[in-house]
Amino acid sequence: MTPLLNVKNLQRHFSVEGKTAWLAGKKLLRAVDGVTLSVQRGKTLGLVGESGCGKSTMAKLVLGLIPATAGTVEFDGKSVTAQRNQAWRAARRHMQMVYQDPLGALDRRLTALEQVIEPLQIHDKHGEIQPALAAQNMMSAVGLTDNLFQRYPHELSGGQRQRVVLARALVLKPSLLVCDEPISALDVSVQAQVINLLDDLRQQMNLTMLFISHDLRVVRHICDEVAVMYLGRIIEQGSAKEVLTHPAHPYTQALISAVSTPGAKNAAKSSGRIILKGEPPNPVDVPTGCSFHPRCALATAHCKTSAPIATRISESHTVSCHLHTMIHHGSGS
Amino acid sequence: MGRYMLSRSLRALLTIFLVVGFAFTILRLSGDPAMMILSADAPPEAIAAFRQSWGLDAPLWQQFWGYLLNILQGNFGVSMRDGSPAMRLVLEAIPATLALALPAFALNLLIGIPAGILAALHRNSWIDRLVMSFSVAGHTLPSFVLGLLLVLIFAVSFGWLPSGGFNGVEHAILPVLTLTVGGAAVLARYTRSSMLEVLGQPYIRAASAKGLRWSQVVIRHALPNAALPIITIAGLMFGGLIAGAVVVESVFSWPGVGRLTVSAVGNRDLAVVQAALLLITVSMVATNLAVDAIYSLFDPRLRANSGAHQ
Repeated sequence: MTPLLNVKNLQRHFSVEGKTAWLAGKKLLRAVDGVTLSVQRGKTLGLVGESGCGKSTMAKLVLGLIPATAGTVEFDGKSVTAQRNQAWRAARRHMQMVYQDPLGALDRRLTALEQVIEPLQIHDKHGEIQPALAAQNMMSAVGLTDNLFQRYPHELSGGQRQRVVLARALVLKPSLLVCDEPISALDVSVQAQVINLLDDLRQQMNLTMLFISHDLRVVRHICDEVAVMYLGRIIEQGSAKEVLTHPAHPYTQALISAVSTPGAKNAAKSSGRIILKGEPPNPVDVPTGCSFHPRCALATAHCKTSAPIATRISESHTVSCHLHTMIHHGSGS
Repeated sequence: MGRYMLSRSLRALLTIFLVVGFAFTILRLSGDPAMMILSADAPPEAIAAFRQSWGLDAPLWQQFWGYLLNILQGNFGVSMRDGSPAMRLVLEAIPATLALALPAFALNLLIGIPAGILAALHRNSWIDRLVMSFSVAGHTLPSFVLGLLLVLIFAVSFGWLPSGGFNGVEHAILPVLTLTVGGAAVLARYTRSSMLEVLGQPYIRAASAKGLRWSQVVIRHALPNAALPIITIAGLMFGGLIAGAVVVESVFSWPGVGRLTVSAVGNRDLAVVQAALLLITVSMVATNLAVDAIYSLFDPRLRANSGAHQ
């Protein structure tokens, strides 16, 4: 089966000015540095990593909102490139996005209903669908009650705003939904509601999702597959179950050990918590060899000089780490 | 909306009272009209008689109280120069001021706002640099320098246009041009920065990710959201123009409110200065009220208590 979303060797570099710009010249920030991944129709891929690792840039690249430096994005067999033409705009109705900051993503001058109607007005110019009705149905489907329809964004709570953003994205019945940290700006008390809502809608509407998050518990709950990103590269990828229960990369292991989950099963785990040293390196000066080696407790001299390549370690699990076989067997014992 | 405008109106009245009070006091403390009008070596009896006849010998608070009572009855006093009613002198100067202010304001909007939008949409391109260079130049050149420069070029060297006076359309061209250069430059700057801020917002990216044509993104989402600061500046500018472009009117000997005020201050013609200041204050305050009303059209957050929590 051909995947709905197919990303090959995607790169996006930004030139940034150093502190002594006019002396040192411009430097290259490799926000996304050779990412290859694919998502099957109806599946959800979780993209996890620390802030600044290139996750949000990936979201924009996948949707063709910004041009790629190199590599390709294919959606439903057609190439996605950032351009301003009719074809690009028409393709929007099949691929939509949910944003991190729902208040920022909404035009403060429009009521909730107007926000949701707008995509219909853009894409259904012949009026086959009654926009107001379709919008109201979608808003009800995301759990917004009638009395909220005429409110302005500032009159809604964070969770309600994100539901408006979700309704706006889904009202066109897209096949791909890119969620860029959809719950990180919400109160913990409403995070679960929004996640469960996303999970339900995904099944009802047969959505394919790229779910960007740094929250592994959420990813475990909602994703079929997981890709772990570090400094613009995918370092580990596979089925959510495998990657989250048998992480192969030291970085993934550290991320998972940092998740605090209540329950007896994890009491033992928490004693073995791995603390990563320091901040992620500056993506302008990526370390040589394996980019994770300065923070890796298991790094050897080899890691400092040569970059690992993606190696398949099981049917649905690849990892980029020189130590992967040793660690894999070690954690399995 | 009703309560919002009511509280604004009360504040406006307070502003007018304060301005009138300050002007009244400072004018009387900073110079003696009797000396100015009768000259310093007039006999003391004449000066005393002058003071008595204008009520200047009474304590300041009594003068002010009488002045307030008079204003409320529509009596704004008479000019100490020629005895004609002060408010009539000011009102007579208004058409001349409007003849400069209205075209200048219209040109400010028509040139400044599109230029700012254009610069923001083509950020860091040659268009942006060109617009901003003109803007900085127009902004920094003082109006008396620019006015004199224009007179030198178009009136003195080429002799195409009159250098001053108030006698038909061609007399208005140079003063209006002077007012436009500075005003449009300021508006262009504010429009550009306001647009740039809005264009960086997530909802703009969201609008374009919905599949909206870029021109529509700008018209439907960017411009209305960028409008607030632009309206503020435009409002202040309009109030300033109505108050009379003091410098430009003086440079071009244009008989408007600005020039009248300057000469009345010089003469210590108290009633005229006060009448002019009152009118200027009222027009400034009225413009601000209008700006507040326009605000709430653009920003739903300012429509306070408009059924937010039913």
